Amino acid sequence: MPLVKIDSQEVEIGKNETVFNAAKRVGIDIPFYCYHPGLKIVASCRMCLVDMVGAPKLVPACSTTVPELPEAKKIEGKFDAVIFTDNEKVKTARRAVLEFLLLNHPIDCPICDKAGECKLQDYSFEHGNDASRFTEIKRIPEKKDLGPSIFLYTSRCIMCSRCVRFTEEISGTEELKVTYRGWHAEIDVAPEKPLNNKMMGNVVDLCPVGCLIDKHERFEGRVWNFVHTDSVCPGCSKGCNTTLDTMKHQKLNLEELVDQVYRIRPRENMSVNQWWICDDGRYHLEADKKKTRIMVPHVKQGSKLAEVSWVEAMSVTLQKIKAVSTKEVALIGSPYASNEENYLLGKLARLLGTGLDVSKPIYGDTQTFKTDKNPHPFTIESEKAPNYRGAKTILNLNDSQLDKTLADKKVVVLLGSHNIELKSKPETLIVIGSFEDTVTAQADVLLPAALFTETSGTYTNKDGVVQKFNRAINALGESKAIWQILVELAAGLGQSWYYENVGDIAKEMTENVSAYKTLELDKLYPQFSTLNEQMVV
Amino acid sequence: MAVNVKNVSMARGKSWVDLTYIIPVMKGLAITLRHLFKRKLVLQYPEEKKVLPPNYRGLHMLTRDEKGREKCVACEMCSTACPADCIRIVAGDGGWEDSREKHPIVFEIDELRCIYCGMCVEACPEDAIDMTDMHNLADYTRQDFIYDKERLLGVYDEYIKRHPDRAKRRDGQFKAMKNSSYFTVNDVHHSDQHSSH
Repeated sequence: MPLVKIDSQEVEIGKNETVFNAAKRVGIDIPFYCYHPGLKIVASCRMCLVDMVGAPKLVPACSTTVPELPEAKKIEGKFDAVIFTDNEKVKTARRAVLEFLLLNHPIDCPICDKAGECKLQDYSFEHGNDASRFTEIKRIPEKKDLGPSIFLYTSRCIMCSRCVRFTEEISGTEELKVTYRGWHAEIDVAPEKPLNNKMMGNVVDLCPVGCLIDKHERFEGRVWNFVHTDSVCPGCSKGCNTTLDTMKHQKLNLEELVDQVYRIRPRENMSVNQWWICDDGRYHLEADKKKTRIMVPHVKQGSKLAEVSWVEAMSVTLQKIKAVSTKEVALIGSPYASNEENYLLGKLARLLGTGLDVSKPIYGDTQTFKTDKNPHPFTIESEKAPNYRGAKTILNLNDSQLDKTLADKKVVVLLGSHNIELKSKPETLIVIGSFEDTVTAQADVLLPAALFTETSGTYTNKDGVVQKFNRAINALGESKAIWQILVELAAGLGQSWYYENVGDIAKEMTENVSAYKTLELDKLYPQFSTLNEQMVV
Repeated sequence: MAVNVKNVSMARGKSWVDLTYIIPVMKGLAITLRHLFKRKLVLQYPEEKKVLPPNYRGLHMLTRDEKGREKCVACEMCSTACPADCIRIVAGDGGWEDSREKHPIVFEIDELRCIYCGMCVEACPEDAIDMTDMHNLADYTRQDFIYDKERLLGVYDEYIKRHPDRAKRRDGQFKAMKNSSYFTVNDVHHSDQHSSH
């Protein structure tokens, strides 16, 4: 393997490994705009120029590989290349590149949503000049509406072409193109062919500056006020890794702004979603807003559901369950609930000797984005539930057989509310759900459950990968996490369980469920006690 | 540690004149009399009011542009710079076609929470927030001290009425800065571009 000296460090570099990657491996940061590990290398931004001894001029680190030299030609007797990433020549080049990039940039940072996480800002601060020498008139091209969810602020563009390469290589839809040349080059779509595909939101994350702006997130908040929470998308059984951005802290009279997820962004996970998520997942909280959230417990009084307190709802629930023999009760798990919650439900059913089943997830469209250049095509799964495989494994079921299970049951406790098809309504239907739908309308008792943003837990995706999602915001209204509701229910039925947090349940789950025995819990729950979800019984 | 002990005893004069203290009293009265004819330092507030320096940091105002709109673009630099966390801004969309896309829907300052440090004025890139010489705020509830956007714009109108000269100077200074080459922008329309190809 060729041996390279980068600044003062010796690095062994792979045959096709770029200088950029080798430097990154030893902790040397080289600034870049157009490079992205998931996209083809074009080396067009020239921000990553480095000084290679012997090369006639500076070379772009992102596209430069190092061949092995014959013994006699080795530099200093052992190196195949000596590279400087921070000498005066490189610094001057960076300054020059940034000066060119800023020539026509409007510097409208105060109204730009990217400000705060903008690479042009960061690098200008780190490597650029403190003032402009440009005395001519700036060219400010018009902004464009690219499609249903993307705006293009053309003037802010630095022509890194990441977005263009994304539509060519990952989504394969090829809507974006570079039009005109040189000074006049712009990103654009063809007439009557707007940017409209299920992965278009990714171009906004890819844009290193504020050129591509998401209409959903425009002017929503400044990025430095956001807190980032690692999460998993519950949109389909793929289980894409996401980051939830919420507001930092409660400012003056900010009641209406707290407890809201402002945006969902993809989080890199090479074995699941690489760097991308689909727009269904990205905007699914917005779709949730259109549904009616269940805020408080309800109990059917007469023919209508009436709002009641938790104490009353729980006592009614227990009364109904205790009124019949345990053989006539069925507990139904959910592919939308976490592993831990399904485990608790299964444990309760086993201890009481009730019927047990899992409801079927919703099935929808599937779409695969195949291109020649992408070895890992992105697929949106048809199974629109995050945890069907996990629920089935934990509850030890082969498949959902609701009709058969519910045939002779009088009291049914249902996790989740996702338009489950019930052949006939059981005598008593207790639903633990988050949104109003056809099933909750029939319920006798309705207990409000927290969403995945409001609790922690793990999902098992279609390939059996167990991933943890974390609580980002407080539960809305009076809703509680499903596991807390189940613990309360169990306490009422004579089972005294004590779990400090979800991590405790996970620990017990790994001990009792054979499929999860190998789970490395320490990685999923690094700090058991900090999971800020004290149980209330 | 050694302590210096000072014995304080009654002053004993040499004569009976000293013992009557007439001379010291007269001296004191003379000082009072002298001050009677000196320039008075005390203002008869509130009948008389002090003229405050132009950079006095009093109540905030939101300035207006030539069209009478608030200059603020809701960039939240002021609320970010604010050490007391007393500014709250909710940005709104002025419309895709409007040149002023971003503007504040809500702009509130809690004047009780504010420490009048002037960091917001320093941070403002649009010269939209400034401080006036108004300091005699009085109201009945704490809620009344949360100044909303309309009220802060009202403060500007009032301030400009009282100090028309200051408004002009402020504007002149800022325009001179904006007209420097760094800020000069010019719209090039697409039609011009096409012809150049």
